[in-house]
Amino acid sequence: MNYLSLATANMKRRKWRTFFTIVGITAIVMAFFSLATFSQGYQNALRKEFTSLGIQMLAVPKGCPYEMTIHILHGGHIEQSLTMDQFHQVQSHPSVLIASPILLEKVVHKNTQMETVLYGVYSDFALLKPLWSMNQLSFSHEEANECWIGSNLAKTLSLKTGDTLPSVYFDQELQVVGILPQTRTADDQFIFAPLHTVQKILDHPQQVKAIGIQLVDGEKVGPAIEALSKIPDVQIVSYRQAEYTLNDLVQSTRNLVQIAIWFIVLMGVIGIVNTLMMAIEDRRKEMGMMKALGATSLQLSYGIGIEVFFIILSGCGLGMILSWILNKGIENLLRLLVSNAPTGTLSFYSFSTIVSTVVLCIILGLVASIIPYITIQKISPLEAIQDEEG
Amino acid sequence: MKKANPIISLHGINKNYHRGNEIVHALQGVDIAIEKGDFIAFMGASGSGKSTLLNIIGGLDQCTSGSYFLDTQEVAKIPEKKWIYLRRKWFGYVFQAFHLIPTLTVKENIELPLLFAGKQQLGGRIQDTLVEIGLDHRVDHLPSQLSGGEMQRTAIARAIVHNPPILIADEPTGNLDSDNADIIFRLFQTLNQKHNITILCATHDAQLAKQCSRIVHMKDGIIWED
Repeated sequence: MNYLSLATANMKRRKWRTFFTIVGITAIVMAFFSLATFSQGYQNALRKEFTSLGIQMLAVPKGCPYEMTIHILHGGHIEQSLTMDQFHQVQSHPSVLIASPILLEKVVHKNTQMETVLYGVYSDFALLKPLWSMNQLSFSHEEANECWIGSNLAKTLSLKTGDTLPSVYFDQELQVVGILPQTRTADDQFIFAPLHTVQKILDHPQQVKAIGIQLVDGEKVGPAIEALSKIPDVQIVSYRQAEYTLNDLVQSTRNLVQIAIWFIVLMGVIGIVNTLMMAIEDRRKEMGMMKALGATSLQLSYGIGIEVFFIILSGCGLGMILSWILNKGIENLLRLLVSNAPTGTLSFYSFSTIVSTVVLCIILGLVASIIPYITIQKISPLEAIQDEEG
Repeated sequence: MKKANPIISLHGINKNYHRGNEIVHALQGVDIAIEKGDFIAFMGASGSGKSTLLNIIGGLDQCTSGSYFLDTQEVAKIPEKKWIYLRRKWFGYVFQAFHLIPTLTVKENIELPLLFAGKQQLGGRIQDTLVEIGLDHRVDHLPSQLSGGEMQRTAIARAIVHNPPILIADEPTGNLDSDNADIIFRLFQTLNQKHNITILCATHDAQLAKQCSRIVHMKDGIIWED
């Protein structure tokens, strides 16, 4: 016999209590692990979306630049517009290498009511998109009734290059001249057509909603922002600023959730302490007898410690596995709670997240063992034996 | 009474404790010397102090005043942490209520003192002890599957598995019928004669006490007759 078999025998004694304690730990770990993996995954997904945008900065109309950035990433309605004249001013600035105008609007399938976004862009927009990696992607001219279609939408509509996009979203048929490669971003669902064609379809002549900008010298973002901001009624927001600000917004929400999680962890510690104290009270006489047989408090605590760590690590492992299994559901829930959450997978499992979770569990176990250890020290062999006899 | 080379020697042992506002004098100036190989019955009515005396001798309780020599070492005031090691080396305990661990088998219960002393390598002792007490056929049974006599024999096996020189038995037959009580006392006699274990046994049963080499009568916390 060893301490492990002693601990196993004790855990089997109150199977349901052991089971529910493990369930409690599992729930705590699920909450913590999900938050940690989603936190990292959200940042990664957001970065991927900005990278997929392929620009260093955006010129947008006056208003909230971050809201507009989100709309440009995910598609949405932007009330204000920039003019083609403003576009030409941006384009002609010496610090600008590529200026790509963007006009966009949500469109709805007339039969299925499924939403997508129609983008009006110039052919050089494709040059900005690192994830598209298609050298030959272009429109025959900027007023052609042609389009590129995101891979998922192409699948949904069963379209391939050369087919015609029927007039189900708007009153204009477009010839599909390119199916975009899958990027696992919102682009996979969108339609991209020549700017002037889209201006006609949406009846927004001479209007754009934003201008994607790539600089001649990517290191000189600051001076470029300063110079371009001088164009009347134009705001410049850099990719870094937008990413940082959006991350910051998410961070605030995450901080709130973290407080809740730490509260849950605290409740978990109290729960484990309570369970351990009940277990010790159950076995108080036995422990007294064991002390009479030569057991030290440390040896008894070691036995209890094995139980604690079995329970904690079982809950930890189960929590992480369940979190991984339920991740899709949690992701969907998060998308409901956080509007405009980035597309693609939002959970990111790193070795450090797994190690952090296990370390948290071990700390939780150690903290929860302090009071029971003190209690064990105070158990007197005589007191325990007399309790039963008297 | 002072003997030449006692294994246990108590002088002027007092034990007081509080019961509400009242101070109870459980032991009042007890002197006793016990030699190696003694088989002593401590007799007396409930509250006479015999269990308290055995608890102090066995290091389960501390005296209020007086001196206690275990072999040559004064142990009256040593802390509980040190007593743990003395208990491992010197004592085995048998109680009226058996105090077996219900989730462990007979073998595992007997193994506990070896586990705590870090002497699992003496596992062979378990089988020898089980044979000696006649429980080798019950090795894998749980306490709930044993009779009262078998439970007490298991407790005795647990008390002697680590070869202690002194066995303390507090009312070991209190929960047993007379047949089983006889078996337990015969087992004590065997252990005393064969292994020269010093046995200190509190009992109410005068017939059983007669089987001991020495009888100590206690009354109101003092040794009335030795």
